[in-house]
Amino acid sequence: MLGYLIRRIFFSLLVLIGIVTVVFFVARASPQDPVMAVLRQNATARGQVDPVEYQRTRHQLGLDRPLVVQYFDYIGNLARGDLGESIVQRNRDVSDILGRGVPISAQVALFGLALQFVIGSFVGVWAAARQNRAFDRASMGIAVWLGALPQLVIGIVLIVVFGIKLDWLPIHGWGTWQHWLLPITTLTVTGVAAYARFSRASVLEQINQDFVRTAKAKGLSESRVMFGHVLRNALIPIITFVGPSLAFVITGNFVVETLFGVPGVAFYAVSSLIQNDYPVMQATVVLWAVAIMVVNLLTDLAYGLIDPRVRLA
Amino acid sequence: MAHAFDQDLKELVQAFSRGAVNRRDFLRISAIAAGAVATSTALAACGGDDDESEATQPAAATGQATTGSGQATTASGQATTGSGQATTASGEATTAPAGSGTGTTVTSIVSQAEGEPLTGVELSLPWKTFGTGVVIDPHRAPNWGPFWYLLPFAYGGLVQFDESAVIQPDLAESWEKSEDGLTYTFHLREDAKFASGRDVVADDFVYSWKRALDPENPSPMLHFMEHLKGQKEYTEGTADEIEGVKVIDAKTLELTLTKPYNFFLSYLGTFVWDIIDREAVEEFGEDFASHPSGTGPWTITTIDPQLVVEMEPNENYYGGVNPSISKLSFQVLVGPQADNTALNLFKSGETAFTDLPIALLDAVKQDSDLNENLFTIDPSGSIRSLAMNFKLAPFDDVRVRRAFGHAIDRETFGEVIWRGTWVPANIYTPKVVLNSDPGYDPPEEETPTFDPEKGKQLLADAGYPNGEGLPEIRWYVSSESASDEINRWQAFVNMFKEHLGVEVVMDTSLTQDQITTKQSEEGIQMAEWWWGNITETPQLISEVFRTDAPYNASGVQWQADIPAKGGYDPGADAKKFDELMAQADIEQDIDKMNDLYRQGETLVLKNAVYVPIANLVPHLLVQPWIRNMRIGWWNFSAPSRFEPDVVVVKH
Repeated sequence: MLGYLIRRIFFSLLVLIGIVTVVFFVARASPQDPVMAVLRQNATARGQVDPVEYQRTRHQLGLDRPLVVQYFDYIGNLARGDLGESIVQRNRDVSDILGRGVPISAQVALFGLALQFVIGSFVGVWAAARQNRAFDRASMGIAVWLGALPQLVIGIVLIVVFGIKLDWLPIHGWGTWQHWLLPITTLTVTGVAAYARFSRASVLEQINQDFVRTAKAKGLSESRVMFGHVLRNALIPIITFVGPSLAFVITGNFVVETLFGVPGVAFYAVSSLIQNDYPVMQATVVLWAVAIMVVNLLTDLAYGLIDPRVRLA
Repeated sequence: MAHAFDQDLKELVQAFSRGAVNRRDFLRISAIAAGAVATSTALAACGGDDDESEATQPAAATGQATTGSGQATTASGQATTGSGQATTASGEATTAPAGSGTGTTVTSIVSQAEGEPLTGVELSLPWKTFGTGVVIDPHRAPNWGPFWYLLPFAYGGLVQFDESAVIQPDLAESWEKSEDGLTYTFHLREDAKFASGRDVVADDFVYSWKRALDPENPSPMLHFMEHLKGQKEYTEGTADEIEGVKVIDAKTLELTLTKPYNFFLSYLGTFVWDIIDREAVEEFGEDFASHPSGTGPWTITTIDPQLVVEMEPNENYYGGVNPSISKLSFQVLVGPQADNTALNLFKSGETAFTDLPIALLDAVKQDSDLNENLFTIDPSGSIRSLAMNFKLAPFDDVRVRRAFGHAIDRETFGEVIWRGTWVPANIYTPKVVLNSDPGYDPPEEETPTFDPEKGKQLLADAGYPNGEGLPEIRWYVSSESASDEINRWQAFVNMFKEHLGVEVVMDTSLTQDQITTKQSEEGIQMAEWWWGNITETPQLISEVFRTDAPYNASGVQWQADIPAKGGYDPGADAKKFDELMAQADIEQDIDKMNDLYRQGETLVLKNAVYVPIANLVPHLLVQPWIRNMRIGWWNFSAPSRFEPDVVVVKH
């Protein structure tokens, strides 16, 4: 187990270095010039670029050094946890910006995910237990329909209905509990369908297994069969499904955060892209990569706990 | 330092030479223009203003001392009721019938909602930052539209602009100008206080201006202070004091200029001249802005650069405390959803107004509820024009330049291509100036009216019959532009094909940064530039077209060394233009000044230095439940700072 863990972390680091390298060089190959992004903040500098000013800024940003030197500096700084300073939000460390974003993304995503999981699994299991009956058909019909709607559409519908027509809830920003409702509802509605269908399929697959028949033959009650045998096995694929979603807990959801002005990590990622804020952009990609790796690792470890057949070695 | 100053100006130049301008760029450019140019500005992200007025005789030109209440006032003009609903327009408004479904066109708006004011209202205002970082500091913020709109809420200076870009008193209750036009003596209000409660005295101005001109960290808005005597020496670090600033006593301040510039008061109204509380800076350092530190009607309580800037009434404001609104939240809106979010915030009743980009116009016009609250502002202080480079063929021949000017169908450009958001312009001076300076009689000869036959003839005279023999001409539109914008520019360049037979190649392969770099390094044959006006006189032409103006030098290169050709002598005209402007900018007699500017503008049109195309018509929505919110051309379509008389009524 320990050996497995060490090996996984080692390979994860390799992958991370690969990602960081790609992001670093792709950013440099972009036609957007970070020096211009800085000079633009000076509005006076938009337009004719004074060569002296340009070189001075370039030097300040360390972009006049050989690319390889810049690269190793960047890696070295990353290893020390130094993500650099934002270009657009002057005098602000990237880690400070992301540090503010992570808790907010986490709040929205955790609530959204928990609701998706709880409601979706409940509906799915209920439907599976009543396969082909009215509840099953109705809930799965709705699930297909909801699942086909993009987050953007649901978000806008919620804004129009609850923010504009009924005027019950704020549609933009962050601060009060009311601000939570529309983003979390959007996440829940769009995710619940997938969980419902997935858990239903997973439970149905288990229900027809021999061990379930055996359990029933032993005279166990229906609930005992369901909770003691079916669900435990049905959980494994569901957890595989939950895993990647957890990464969004750290990185936030691009559509929801942008649409509702929720200042989480994804919100900053989008703004940094628009504003050519390279340090923030690179940092969010790295953060996302790390989050996905950690979550994948945790998912694999969780298999071992849930399914004794899985041996981590 | 002069170094920094020159650089700033130089760099500004190309801010205006761009191949494509979307809304974001527009604001950006206008802001920059406003800042750089001496003339007219209105930069900002929104707003509108108008100019109504008789009240707009340039104080500098007339030499009259001005006194006032210190509150922004709307010039009287010929007030006209707007939609018949909640808003009146002032000035020579052209009004549409109420409920006509097309909005109401006005020169400025003072919202007139009736009813009992509510108290304790928490109100949001949309604040689109158009890609720039949030810098809440009048001495450090760049010349960018959003700052022109937000900063005056919390900070003030000697004078301020009203929504029509007319200078009004702020912390100075009155002033006198010396006969030679070089010296201004300002008398501060006795009740002027910082938000902390500390009295504002003359030394506070000296402190603030030194901070703005700090040799180590000069303001990006430095050029608005360049006419002050001793500014250059102070910023260069060769003088310890600013020679042109003299404290007479605690409430009297004397400013001396290098020359008697007649537009000085308009420059003095820009936010770089605002004061901040020295004690707040000393106590809180760079975080001073989120503590009481200004003199405006509001004081900032929270700055979250990506989300919101919150303000509460300044209890020590000389004009009193707002009885209705207890909190203002400027919602920072960035990214692709910014315009939609602003509109949704308006629909949900959270914000008092919103500007409308062209992409949302149809949706609003089709919504009868919204349409009742739709206003357009005309005339505006913005001029969009075609810049052609004298040093790059074929635009080294004035006849070709003029031919292109005659090929632009301005009605189609404004009404069809830009869906009514622009109106045709045949002169360069923005139309608001004709209101603020009614004595200015713009040239009628040499104007580039739409006349394809004349254009073809000029082209043939230049040796290019039907465009034959012309070198390739490229029109750059940023690769980041939206497709509908690219389509608009395609329709624009198609005019040259249709009316002159000249194929102009659309090039969308470069980003805006790359276009800008190309412009600085090798020049671009033709580009579209925008300007916003801040002065009450036609001084914009001086700021833009003088041969030493950075906009000229890096954009069109109308210089004295250009040889004569085909009956035109642009080099000699450039020299003459310089002489005219040198006089016009310091002329104290308004009639003489107007005559000099007229001669200058005639030369600009004759040589097709820039070809005027259209004036912007800002579109915006205004809530029917807010009273005394003032919007004019000044901020494009954002309101002037909320004085205590701005109230929300029961609705």
